[in-house]
Amino acid sequence: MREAIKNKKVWVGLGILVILSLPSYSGTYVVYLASLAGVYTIVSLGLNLLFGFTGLVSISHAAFVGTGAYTTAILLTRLPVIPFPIVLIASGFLAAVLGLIVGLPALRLSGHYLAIATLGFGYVMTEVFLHWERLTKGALGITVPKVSIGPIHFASEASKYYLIIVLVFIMIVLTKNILGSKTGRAFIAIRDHEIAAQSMGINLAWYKTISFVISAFYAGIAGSLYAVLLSYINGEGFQLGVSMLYLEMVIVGGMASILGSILGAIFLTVLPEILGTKYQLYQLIVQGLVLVLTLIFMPWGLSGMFWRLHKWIKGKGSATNGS
Amino acid sequence: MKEKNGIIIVMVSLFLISVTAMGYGQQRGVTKDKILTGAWIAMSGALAYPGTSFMYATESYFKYINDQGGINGRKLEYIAYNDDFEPAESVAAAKKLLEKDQVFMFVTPMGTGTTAAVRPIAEESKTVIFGPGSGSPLFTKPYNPLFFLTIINYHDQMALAVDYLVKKRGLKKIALFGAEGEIGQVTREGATDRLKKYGLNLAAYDEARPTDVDVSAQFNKIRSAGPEAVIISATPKPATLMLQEMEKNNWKPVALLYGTISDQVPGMAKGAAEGVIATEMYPPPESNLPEIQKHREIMKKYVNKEINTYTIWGYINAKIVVEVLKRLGNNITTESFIKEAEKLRNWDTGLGLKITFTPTNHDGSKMAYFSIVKGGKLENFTDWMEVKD
Repeated sequence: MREAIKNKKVWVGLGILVILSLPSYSGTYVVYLASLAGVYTIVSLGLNLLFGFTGLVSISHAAFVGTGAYTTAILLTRLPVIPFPIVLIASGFLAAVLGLIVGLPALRLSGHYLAIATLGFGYVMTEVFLHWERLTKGALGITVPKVSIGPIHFASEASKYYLIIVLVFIMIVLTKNILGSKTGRAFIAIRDHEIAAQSMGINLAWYKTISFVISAFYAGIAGSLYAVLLSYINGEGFQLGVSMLYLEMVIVGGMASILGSILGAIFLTVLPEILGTKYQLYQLIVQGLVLVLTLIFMPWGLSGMFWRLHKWIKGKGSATNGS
Repeated sequence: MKEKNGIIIVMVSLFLISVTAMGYGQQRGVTKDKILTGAWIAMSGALAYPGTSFMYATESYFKYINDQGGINGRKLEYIAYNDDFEPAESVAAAKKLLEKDQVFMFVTPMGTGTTAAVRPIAEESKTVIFGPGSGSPLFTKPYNPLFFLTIINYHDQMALAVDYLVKKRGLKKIALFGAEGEIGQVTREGATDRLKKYGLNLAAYDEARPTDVDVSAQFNKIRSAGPEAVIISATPKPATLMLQEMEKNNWKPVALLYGTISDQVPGMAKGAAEGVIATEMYPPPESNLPEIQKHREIMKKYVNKEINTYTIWGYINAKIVVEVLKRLGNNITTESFIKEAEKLRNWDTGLGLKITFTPTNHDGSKMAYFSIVKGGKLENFTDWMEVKD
């Protein structure tokens, strides 16, 4: 029994079981929250690649998510013959193209200046969502039709949840592969020391742009799933405040950490639940405090805390064994 | 042994039948002693002021009704969740209200986009959304049995404003300064549609965000079109800035404020608002009408808050909900609520505003009146007016 508790595989297996069986023991509200956390996890994974691993900041990720969401909504309503998997990928690709455009200034800008440039892009896209009425229906928004892949219809909350969980899993595997590749190592080298990275033959311009493109692709995929999950979109879901929330997910969860992306997304999705009805008036204050306190006392976020705890338990276990 | 098994089978069957019957026979959110209602509200951020105003108005009126004995012996309960004005959060709040709290209906939830995001859930669960804090015709045109609007919608407000400016004042060049987003979009459509009836076009249109601190570009654009009147459907801050630009540049067209901002802007713009016309959807908070006094006392007693335009709006909604529920007796279901509400004809809210719902129209009011700002105060100069198609 003690061996089983120590076994990482047992815990992972249990975790998978809990995730997969969630709709069977939870109501649609919990399943919806879990789906939303899944969507945010994908955004957070992409943003962490850019911010945590490459060291480039973006305050415009809600705009990429919005691009993905609108691509899905427009294609599904105007060209319903296109199968959903293609719509999903197209949403990611269109956001990636915008990521390429935004990524170009990143070659010349860094730090605050890059943040301001991305902020400007975020504002431009908010205006586009609102004012390109023929395409986006402006502030009145678009009702998104139900989607299906072959015989599987994603109409119920549970079916949407499974779709999102599968995509989250794929994106985690993709992230792990990117980080283990030459590209991932180049991202980290750029973040740690640009000049040193360049002197080792890393093409800064190429990798910085690629980081933006990949990050925006993730956001586009998340946006597509957001549209499917909500069945309705308008510009209000892609404002500056939402971009800040995504950034907070990365910081609070843990920069440069896949686990951090997941924990940050889950934590900020369930924060209103933690606050309850009594303290919800102070939600933004609490969010701000959490961010400041994380930066001061827990710079590696929730994932850092998790690994420290893990190490401590392991150390305690071996000490007990030793005695 | 066989006999014992038989008894167990019969008992289990009876239990299952009774549980099933309970599940099907009972309306969600209505128990022997309670009627549960709820809403999604922006309680933090830039829109917390209107959001919490709606919340306090509903909460205080329901508490007041409960102290009077409730609705035919049932107490009213109201649960509000913060959605930060973000559609994904509004959906979460609505799902929680339906599933965890088991509410019967939604009362004065806030926002157009947020309520639109919840619409599929309301339709699927057959839940009434009464008086969303929105003047958008999006929910009532075409007719949707689950949605009830209690104030004159933005589209109709523009019709009323254009009628007044063209017919009463004889003006022909009319511009619009709107709020970025849904309000701007709908008011622009409303003004354009009504002007077309007179063979006129909108002279100019521009808009501003609620957070804008400078509207000089919008001012220049509108002034360069040379309008005789400017209808303002922006949020309070940019609306105030626009009036201040007009005063600074000594340009004095007829300025007309749309209903939602009419009580805030005169105080904010001070001297720059002098002579401005304000659309009023219900009496202002300073009014001494007995019904406003009552609302003031209820707010003070139960939530210890001051009243404002938004609390009056929330109060009207809560009052109508209570009236309909009282008429229902013990037969409280979504269908019976809709049917009973649709019997309201020129129902007096006590504020001069009369509400009418029919089986084909849930735009409860088509009424407003105009006031003029004199010495910083609103002075009413017309009777209640009704929009005619």
